[in-house]
Amino acid sequence: MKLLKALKKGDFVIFAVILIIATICLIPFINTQTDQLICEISQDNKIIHKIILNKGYKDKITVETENGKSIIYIENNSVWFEYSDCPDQVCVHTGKLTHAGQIAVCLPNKVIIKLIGQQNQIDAIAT
Amino acid sequence: MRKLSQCGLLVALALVLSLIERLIPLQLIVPIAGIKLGLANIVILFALIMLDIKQTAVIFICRIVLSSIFAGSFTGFLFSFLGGLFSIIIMYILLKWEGKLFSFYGISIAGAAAHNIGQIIAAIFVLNSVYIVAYLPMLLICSFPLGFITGYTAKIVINHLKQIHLTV
Amino acid sequence: MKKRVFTLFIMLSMLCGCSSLKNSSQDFFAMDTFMNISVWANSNTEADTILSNAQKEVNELSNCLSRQVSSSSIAKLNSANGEPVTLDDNAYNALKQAVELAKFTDGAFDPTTAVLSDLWGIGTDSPSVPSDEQINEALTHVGYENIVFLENNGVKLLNGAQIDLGGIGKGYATDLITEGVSTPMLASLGGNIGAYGENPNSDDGLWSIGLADPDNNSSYIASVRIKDLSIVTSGDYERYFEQDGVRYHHIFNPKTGYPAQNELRAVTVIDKNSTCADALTTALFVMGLNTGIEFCKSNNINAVFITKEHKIYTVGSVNLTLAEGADYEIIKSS
Repeated sequence: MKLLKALKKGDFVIFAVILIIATICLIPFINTQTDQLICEISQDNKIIHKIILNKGYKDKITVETENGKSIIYIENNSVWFEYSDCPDQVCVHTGKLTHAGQIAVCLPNKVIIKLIGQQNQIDAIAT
Repeated sequence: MRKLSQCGLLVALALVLSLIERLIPLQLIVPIAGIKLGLANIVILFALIMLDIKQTAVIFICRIVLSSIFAGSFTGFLFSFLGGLFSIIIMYILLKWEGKLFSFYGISIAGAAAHNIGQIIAAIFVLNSVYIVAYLPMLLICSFPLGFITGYTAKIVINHLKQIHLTV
Repeated sequence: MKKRVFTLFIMLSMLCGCSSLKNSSQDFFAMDTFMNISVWANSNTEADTILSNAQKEVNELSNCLSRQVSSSSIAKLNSANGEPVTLDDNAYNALKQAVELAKFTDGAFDPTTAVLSDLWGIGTDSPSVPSDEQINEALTHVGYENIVFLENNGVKLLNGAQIDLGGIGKGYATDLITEGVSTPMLASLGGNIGAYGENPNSDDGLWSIGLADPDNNSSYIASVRIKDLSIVTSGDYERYFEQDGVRYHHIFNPKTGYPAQNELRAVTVIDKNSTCADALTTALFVMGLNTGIEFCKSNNINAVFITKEHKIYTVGSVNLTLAEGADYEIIKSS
């Protein structure tokens, strides 16, 4: 092939290096997690993020809406509203979500964090 | 004077390319705001080959400053800057052995990979999460076809210019 | 032969369709809070229809009972300066029930605490602790005796009283949407739970409902298994502000004008009638632990009291299971 002829020895070294780097990046994620918690973040009833929570995973998500801003933190198997510019702060006061079925809501900004998992031990929480 | 207008032309070209690549929703696959494919690397590669490193650097800086003003996104600027920087450095070094050890394709693929590594590193700092690195393998795989296209395009243009004896 | 196998297959698959219920679920905002209704029915269309009807009813009710919606008859009553106003059926019925419950609880629950909510500003940008003078002035407008019912859905308010149906609104909505529904329905209206019919996802048809942890209300400290009942909770963690280390929450004592400060963090009531349960949680919280428990015993009310000392008192026939790792102790009062 004309293409292969055009390639030189060094090119293959480059390719190998790139593939090695790609593999190294995958190593921390090899062990499949046992309890898969998925965090669903929606704004105005539209799901904007769907994130799989893992031990050792940390993230910060800022949701900017026309009503205001909310900042959501994710760490290991928890997710919570760290900051929100709403007046009542109900969302921030909710605290950390750690189990499937739990929900935190910021009404003024219309942001909902939901934790979904395979096993839901209870159907609803009276609050 | 000629150099100035040539550089200007290349900056404009790079800007057009960065606007085009904005149309491609890479965010659907890699959910990081501001991440780019790196089409503008075609211009960088061309500049590195046909011009000198100083001019390339100038073109690069002009391009990312202007495109960030148009786009209005600081994180986009950071990603482009680090990505472009890594890309320029790697391609500059590898070009020294172009023809002997490396072909255009290899160099531009290496440039594309370096661009992605730069972007991911910038993203890790901006988002404060080491686990962004999980997206790198996918981006690195993408750098093969992308780098190939970039290199191929640059090669065609350069050959064309050589054919019409256009010296810079 | 092929035709027979085919029709047999079709019939079997139809049978299978009949035996498993289809679920329809919707999250939405109404009555200033987050709501979810889940319905199970024989077909997706049926479930969707029941669900959208329920949602529509809640939204309509939200507009008609809220004093914040200027077009509602409650808002008109509040701004009528003592003149009689004709309420629509739902508003009239809800108000009537609210007054009956106020009488039943000797004023511990009172639908005229709107003046106090406004004074303290709980839930707004600028809540504050008012002065004694301000509170005493506000108290002159508080009292369910100020609500006068006239004929033909007419009502008038004395002494500048203002109506707030927030204390029973969600309960009333739950009763409305679950009335006459013959298929399983799980409604969570702002934390107000209605669980009716057989739970399709459990072996015994019961629903598992958790009681919120006052310190982390998306988590639960205990759970009950129920069917065809409503569970309502009122707590000091729902709407509040803190000043100088003291928490001022939204459950006012209508006699003192202050948020009810006692040993309680939350009260839960389990009852067939959600409107009742909703009002009772407020009333029992205001009464405090001992008076509240006595009241429940005398009136056959099934309730749960959660205290600041991490104790959970149950009254009546409440079968509570502590959640894993919950740092609470269950005490049965009977």
